Amino acid sequence: MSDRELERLLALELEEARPDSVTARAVNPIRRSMRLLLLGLAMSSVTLDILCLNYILPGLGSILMLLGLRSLRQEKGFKAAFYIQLFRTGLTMAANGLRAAALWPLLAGSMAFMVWLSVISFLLTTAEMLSLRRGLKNLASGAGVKTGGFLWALVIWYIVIYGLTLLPFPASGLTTGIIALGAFSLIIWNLWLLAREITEAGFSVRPAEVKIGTFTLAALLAALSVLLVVLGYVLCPQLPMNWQVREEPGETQVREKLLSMGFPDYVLEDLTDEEVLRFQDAEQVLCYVRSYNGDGTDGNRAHAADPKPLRVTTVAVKLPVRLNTWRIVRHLEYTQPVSFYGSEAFYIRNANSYDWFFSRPGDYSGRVLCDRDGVSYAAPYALLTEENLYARSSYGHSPYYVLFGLYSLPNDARRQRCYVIVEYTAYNTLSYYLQPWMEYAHQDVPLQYPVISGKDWFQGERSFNYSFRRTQIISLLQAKGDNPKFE
Amino acid sequence: MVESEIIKLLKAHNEAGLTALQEHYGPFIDYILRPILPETADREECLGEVNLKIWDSAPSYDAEKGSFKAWLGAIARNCALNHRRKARPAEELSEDLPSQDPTPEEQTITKERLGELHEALRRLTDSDREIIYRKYFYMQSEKQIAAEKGTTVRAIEGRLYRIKKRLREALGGESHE
Repeated sequence: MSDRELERLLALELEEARPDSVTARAVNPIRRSMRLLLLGLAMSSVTLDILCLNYILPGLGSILMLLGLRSLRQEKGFKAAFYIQLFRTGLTMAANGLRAAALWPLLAGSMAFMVWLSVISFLLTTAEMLSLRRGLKNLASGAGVKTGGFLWALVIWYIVIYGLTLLPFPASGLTTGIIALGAFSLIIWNLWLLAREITEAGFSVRPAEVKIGTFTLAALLAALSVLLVVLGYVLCPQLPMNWQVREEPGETQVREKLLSMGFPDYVLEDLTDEEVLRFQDAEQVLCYVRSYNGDGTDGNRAHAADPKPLRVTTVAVKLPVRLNTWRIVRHLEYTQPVSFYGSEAFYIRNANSYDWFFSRPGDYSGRVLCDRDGVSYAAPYALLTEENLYARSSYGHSPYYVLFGLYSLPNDARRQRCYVIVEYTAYNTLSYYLQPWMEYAHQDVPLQYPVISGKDWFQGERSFNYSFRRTQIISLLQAKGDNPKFE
Repeated sequence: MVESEIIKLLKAHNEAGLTALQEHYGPFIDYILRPILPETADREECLGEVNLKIWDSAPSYDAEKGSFKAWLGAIARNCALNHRRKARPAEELSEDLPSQDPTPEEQTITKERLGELHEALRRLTDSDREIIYRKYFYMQSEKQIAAEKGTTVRAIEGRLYRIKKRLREALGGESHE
């Protein structure tokens, strides 16, 4: 049958035919756009904190909103909303990509960065919702439909949600969540009804022509989102570390004195001259060495590595500065290669809330080192800072003032190591224990999303994250009379 | 005013129904007329004919045969086609040419084929049937269909080609002229 004959038959068949209700409803200039817009709005606003849906749904929702607004962009109000949504989609995709980068925990931990991100996001969202309100109102008035107050409710809902995140106390409890979700569901339902009315009456709208089809563009944007996440993993698998060739030791006198007092040479050679000089009045040096698996299996004999790759050396140096002041060096070194070095972290705690013998850690310093092709490299920690750690214990949730270290080790180097020097003072002059409790977190699973650091992991962000292994490093310095020693 | 009230008023030949119809379905009727009658003047003229037809036919409207909107669309579309035919009368045929009227045999074949086509259209997916109706019932251009479906003209052309191919296969064969 020829094409012309088919068209003649189609013309005859459809001459008196009345389209069925499904077809009649589908023939509409804005039906598809309104559906995409509302679905996108719902998906990008409601997040579910399981299986990364809190990132996937807003990402997809953002793309759907963009596709919906793309066809409506010639209408008043929708043009601004489209361009803002274009920017927001790019921002969402970039943020999702950044979440796969090891850099993310540092950005997320930066108050300035998060405040700027929140402010920009708030301004963009509010501007877009106002534009959207204007666009929908114009469509509705053009179609003779009354809008009610739900368009303002949508704008106010977003402002309130952002306002809650800026409160100085946590407002993300279950009750708040249920109220917010209930209000949003009500708004979306009424918007859905409004959109249906507008769709049924909005035949004066002329959708904008497109150069790329909806499905193709959605697939491209989704692929770009995945690509950005992959790039995040590939380009930034580790925390940014400023590696420099380690300087040659210039100071020799104090170093020789410390070596003669029993300071281990492999620890001493990693210390800077400035740090060594602070030991020049050392009265006593005590050393304690112990090796660990470093992968959290130390308590399990069946999994014991032989030899254990993580050597931890604790050196305590007694100083005459004040009575019972000790400067303690913790030196962690991988003497055997391990499968993967990702984000490493430790924290050191001194006095418990129920322990009144010691001051909190005093001044501190340290760095990270490794050897490559016979050359030693050193870098400052990505983060070395004092913070409260809220840990669950038999005493309930109690804050511990701790020293956090955060760093990455290169996978293609040898003798990956780090050290930290902390000063402690014991208040009890006669007999005391100095127990600078240390916990070390080693990342041995490369993929995690969003990327969290060992520091975040220690601070409780452990749900659905099995990338880290914990090692408890215990060394107890007991001082009774004139004979302090490690136990 | 809701649809059922408008229908009730129109069936009762109440002029308020026609006013409400204009208010609520004016843009829809214009949307149906626009692809067939691109000139505004033609559409304005045709609109009067559409209103008259609706006014006359309203008492016979049966909701069981289809939605009110589909009924309105069909009336608007037929009026627009008639208006276009009147505006562009066919050229007079030469008396020397053989008659263009189909023979009884051709009429029988056409009737059979229309039955097959009806069945083939029914078997199409909703989305494919929408494209066919947009193109051959509402006379929308590929450009308009593409914009409203959020896709490209080439994609719509390709899709129409594939749908027609399926229809031709259902009618017993492939051939291009």
